[in-house]
Amino acid sequence: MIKFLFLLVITLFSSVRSQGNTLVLLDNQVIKETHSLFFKSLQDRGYSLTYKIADDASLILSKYGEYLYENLIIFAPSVVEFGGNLNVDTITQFIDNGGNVLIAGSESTGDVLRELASEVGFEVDEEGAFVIDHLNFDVSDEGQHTKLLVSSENLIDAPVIVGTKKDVAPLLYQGTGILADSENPLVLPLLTADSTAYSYQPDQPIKEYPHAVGKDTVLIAGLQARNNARVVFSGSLSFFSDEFFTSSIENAQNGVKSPKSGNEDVATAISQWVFKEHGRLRVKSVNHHKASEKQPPHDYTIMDDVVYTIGIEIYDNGKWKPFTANDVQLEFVRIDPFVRMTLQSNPKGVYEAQFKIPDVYGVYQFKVDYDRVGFTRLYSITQVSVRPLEHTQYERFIDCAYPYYAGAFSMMLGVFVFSIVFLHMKDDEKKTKGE
Amino acid sequence: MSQAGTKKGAVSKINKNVAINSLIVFVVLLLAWVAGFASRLFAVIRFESIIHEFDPWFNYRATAYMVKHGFYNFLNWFDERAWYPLGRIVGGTVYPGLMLTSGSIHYILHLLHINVHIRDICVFLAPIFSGLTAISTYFLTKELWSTGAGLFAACFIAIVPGYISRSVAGSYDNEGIAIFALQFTYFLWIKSVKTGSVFWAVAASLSYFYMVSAWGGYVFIINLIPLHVFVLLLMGRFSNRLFTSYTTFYILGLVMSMQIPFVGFQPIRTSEHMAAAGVFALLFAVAVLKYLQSMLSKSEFKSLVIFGGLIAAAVVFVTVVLLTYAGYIAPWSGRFYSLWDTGYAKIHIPIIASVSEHQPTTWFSFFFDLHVLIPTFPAGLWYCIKNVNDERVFVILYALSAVYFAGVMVRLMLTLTPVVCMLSGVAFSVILELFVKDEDSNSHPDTENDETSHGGKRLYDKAGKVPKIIKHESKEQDAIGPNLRSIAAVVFVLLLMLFAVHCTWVTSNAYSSPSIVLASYGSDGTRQILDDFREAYFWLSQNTADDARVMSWWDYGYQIAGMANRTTLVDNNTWNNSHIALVGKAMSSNESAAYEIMTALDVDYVLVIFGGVIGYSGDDINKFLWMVRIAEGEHPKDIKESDYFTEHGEFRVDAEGSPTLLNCLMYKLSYYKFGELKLDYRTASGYDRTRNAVIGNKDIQLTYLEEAYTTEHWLVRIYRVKKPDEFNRPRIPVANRVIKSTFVSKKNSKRKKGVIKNKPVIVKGKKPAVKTQ
Amino acid sequence: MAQTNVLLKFYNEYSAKTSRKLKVIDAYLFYILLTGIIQFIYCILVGTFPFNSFLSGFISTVSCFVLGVCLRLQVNPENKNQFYGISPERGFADFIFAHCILHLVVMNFIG
Repeated sequence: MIKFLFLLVITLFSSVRSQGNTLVLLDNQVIKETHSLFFKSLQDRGYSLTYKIADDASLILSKYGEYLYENLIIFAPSVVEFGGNLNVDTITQFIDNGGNVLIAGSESTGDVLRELASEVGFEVDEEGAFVIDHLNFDVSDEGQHTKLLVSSENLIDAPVIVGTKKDVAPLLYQGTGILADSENPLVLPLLTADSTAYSYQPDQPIKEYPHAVGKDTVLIAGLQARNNARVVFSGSLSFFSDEFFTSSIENAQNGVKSPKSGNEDVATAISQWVFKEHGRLRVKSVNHHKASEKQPPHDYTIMDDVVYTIGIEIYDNGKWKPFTANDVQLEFVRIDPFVRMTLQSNPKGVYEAQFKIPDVYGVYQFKVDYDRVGFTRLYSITQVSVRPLEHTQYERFIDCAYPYYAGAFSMMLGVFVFSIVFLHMKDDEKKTKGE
Repeated sequence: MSQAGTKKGAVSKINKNVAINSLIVFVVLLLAWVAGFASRLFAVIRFESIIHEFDPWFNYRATAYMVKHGFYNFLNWFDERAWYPLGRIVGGTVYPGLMLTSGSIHYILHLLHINVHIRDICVFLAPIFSGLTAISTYFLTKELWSTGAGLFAACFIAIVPGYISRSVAGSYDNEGIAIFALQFTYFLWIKSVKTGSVFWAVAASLSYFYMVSAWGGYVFIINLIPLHVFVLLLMGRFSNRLFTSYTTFYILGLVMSMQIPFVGFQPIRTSEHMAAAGVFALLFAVAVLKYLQSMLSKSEFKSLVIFGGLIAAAVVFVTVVLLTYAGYIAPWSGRFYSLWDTGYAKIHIPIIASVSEHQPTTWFSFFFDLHVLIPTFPAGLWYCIKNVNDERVFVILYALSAVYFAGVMVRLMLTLTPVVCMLSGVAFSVILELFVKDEDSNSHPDTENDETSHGGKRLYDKAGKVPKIIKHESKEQDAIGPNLRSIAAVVFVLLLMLFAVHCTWVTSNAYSSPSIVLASYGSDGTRQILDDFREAYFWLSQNTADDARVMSWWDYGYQIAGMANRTTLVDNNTWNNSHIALVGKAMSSNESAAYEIMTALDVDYVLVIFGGVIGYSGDDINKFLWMVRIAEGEHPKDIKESDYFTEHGEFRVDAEGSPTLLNCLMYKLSYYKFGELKLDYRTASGYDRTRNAVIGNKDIQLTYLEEAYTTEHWLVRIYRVKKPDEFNRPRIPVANRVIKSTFVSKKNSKRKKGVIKNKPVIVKGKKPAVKTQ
Repeated sequence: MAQTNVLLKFYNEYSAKTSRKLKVIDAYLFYILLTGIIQFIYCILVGTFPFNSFLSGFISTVSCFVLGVCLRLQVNPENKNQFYGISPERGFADFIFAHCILHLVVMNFIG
């Protein structure tokens, strides 16, 4: 019986996947309650959450050079300065070492968060600024038109990050706008405002041109750093709140209704992406060899037929599974790519390419650089050297050269015959002389 | 002198004489060899048994590879660690003679169970070959003049600094063995011209083959010998001997020289070799004409000759020109052009001009390298012109062309040295005969006899000039009194002693530095060894990944490959100008532009040589303008030489230097953190001892690189190039931010608590205020 | 006409003066010349593709010719005074020696 219980406990534990430690920084303990649905969904997915108040003097991210947490959630919009060891530098270091960060701001975003946002490529609009849209707001809005209803059309076109956007109801949003450099490929505008929106202090007359207008106003911005660490910055903390998750919505202007906002779906999807449950690729194996062989040779010779295979896996529900796509490309590079081709995929997630090495020797690289929005960057480089023909590998006996061979041999023969004749003649002459 | 007098009777005496003479010859040659060998050992004794300089490192590496992997693998060696990512076919781009020579010595010694490390063979190869050079010089001079002159020449060449400069122990370079091959080929050639024997001609072509396999300077032979033949033809000295020796030598030499993969089809494709082919054809034409002449009458012949000769010349000329235009024959290579026009290289091929060896020679270095031989060698030349015969024509041409070439390029001093030694040997021996030897009057008739019989026996000395001259000389001698003679003798002995002293001094002071280990002398005369190069290379080999790619200027490519065993981008085998220009461009661009090039080339480390701390003048900043020029040649849009000068056209590293210079990669890497360094109390911080200036940009920040290692005397500085993923986040710099904030941290070590806006203050007994959202 | 006369005269002189031995050499030289010309024409027709084969084939004929001529010069008694110390036997030995080296090299080069 005890054994049975024990087994049960084990199975229970194993069914809840451990997703790693997460530090949650809050303005106050109230947020823990107002956002309980979001936190609960995380806990259900196996995250162990550690709640701390953001100005706690004992805050610490790493101990003895090892990080205590894999993920960091900052739901403390009004923090001006973190307590303890935390500051902008330690958090950026945390990101540079691969940690994932989810930050939510608000109209009164504190300075430290602004600094942090700038470190990862966004800017938060000025203190007190809301995103305002006089055409798309919820009926429950209090007159400033800041409680927006954002159509799911404005989500980024990447199912890996935000889920399938068709099924999603309009989203409730209330908070500040974010400015993101649209030219930077690493920065992703996960959710933008409608074209009728702008970002400004609602209770002040508009004197200057707003910092963000229309679709340029980013509501939720994401970043996948070059080391694949992910950062999401939302301009609205309430986006993740229980209230927004559960409330019914109705557009005050055109009357579009829905019993429940899309916030919960999108927030869950975003949290799954930012904590790398989704869109994580890895190279399982790389192999290359000559077409007729199995093992990679020490070096290739020019004009060899070469076979290159790469196995790619995707992280899915705690397991690595084969990844299938039809747009993975291979380059064969020596400063410039000499060969570029799409790899043939098979259901096992093994991609294969077969090609002829160009007639140029040198040190080449097989390069697979698969960089798609939402997925971690898949970058695999295998260096091989391609050597010219060895002196024994050239064609030996060439048909049209046979006359030359014949010529050379006839010369030898000629010398031989001539020597015999010549020597005999000498003898003859001597004989005649003697006689 | 080794001669057999024609007098009857004293056969045994003559035999004795011959024996004594050959003993003297043998002893002198042996001593020359030993002296030459010994004086080349300064470097080993002062420093250690180590390979010197730049090119020898590659030769050593190649030799070691060949010894380890065998000859065929060496021929097929594709070196993927050089010229990354192009790679280099070593077997097809080297003269393998040097490696083969030391490799076979190594092989033979090991067969005899003498286990010598290949490095020691490499280090001592050049001194050993200098002995062989002395011997072949002896033979050559003996053929040209007399045994005495030969002995003089052998002694001179054994110790003359002009040759020692390329053959000290450790200077394991092609020239070391090539001079021997050169002299030996010339000796065999003279021998074959003298005898007309096919055997000697074949031997000459074999020796020529060895020379081709050893050094690119073989072009000198294949132009000088045809020139000799041509001049002989012009002088009307055609003979069947000349015909047999030249045709055999040329055709065999041609087919053999094409066996060297590096030379390939050049001998029939490039203009450098065309003169030889032309002379070959000409000689044939002349031979046919002579033959016809022997058969036909004069008038018939004359018309044929003039007509045929003109046509033949025109045809040859036109075909060569046509072939050149059609591209079958490559026009003369740039290095060759620079021989004719000294300004050519500076304008068109900066990479050739950038090598200090390719600069025109100064008068000083003529004296420095040759000393007393310089004034005496015209005397020898004069004697040769006066007593001209077939082979002396050769030495005259040799001397004249070598003098010219040596004037053009410092490096070609090396080809001048042997002929200077030979001619000075001639001069000294003649003078010595005049003043010393004639004191015992017995021997004088001997020589005279010898000379006359010499001339008489062999019919090629046409006009019997030799006896006449000697008579003339002997008249002069009669006028010289014994006092004068002894004074002259003493003066000459003194001169020779001075020469020996000078040679030793030059060798020990100027030519025995391995240049990878530097020595400096303190004020109290103590010697300090600066071993920064090896320190840096050792650091590279121990602390970097095995396939790490190191970018440096090409001078250091071979050393990095040889000592640190790391991949290099460019090296001293400057075969690909555009690749070098790319490196030059990276060095002369600003950091971010350079970073793009460096990532494209997968550079992991950058190595620069910086002499500002110890005042070492051969550092990268002093070579920097060449980098700019070479880069400008390939990328004229991005790099402009004029940007690196001040408004007054000066190249300055101090505060007045041009901003482009002060911000380029090479400047930054050389002077990084140097602004903080105060060398001594008198000078300001950041004082560059090499250029005697305080640097202009003291606060150098590096974004894309970080300092990895700097050697003890800052001579070598190594930087690591950051990988793209180290620029992890798209940080928005403060200046570019739209929304400005003035955030100053109030935290300190005592106050660790953070700050939250509108934080509800908890007052006991009261309900907390409602938080704003 | 003049040319033909000259040539005729030349031919007569040649037949009269030249010894049998030299004639054998001349025949040999003629044979070599023929081979060389054939190779050259073939090369012009077919192109120089295996350039090394062509070169080695052609140069081997040229050098055979050269060596043959040298031998002829050395053997010719008229030239005796020019080749001091080289007897016809020595000349022939040299000739064979040169041929050995030549053919070694040519064989190396041809393939």
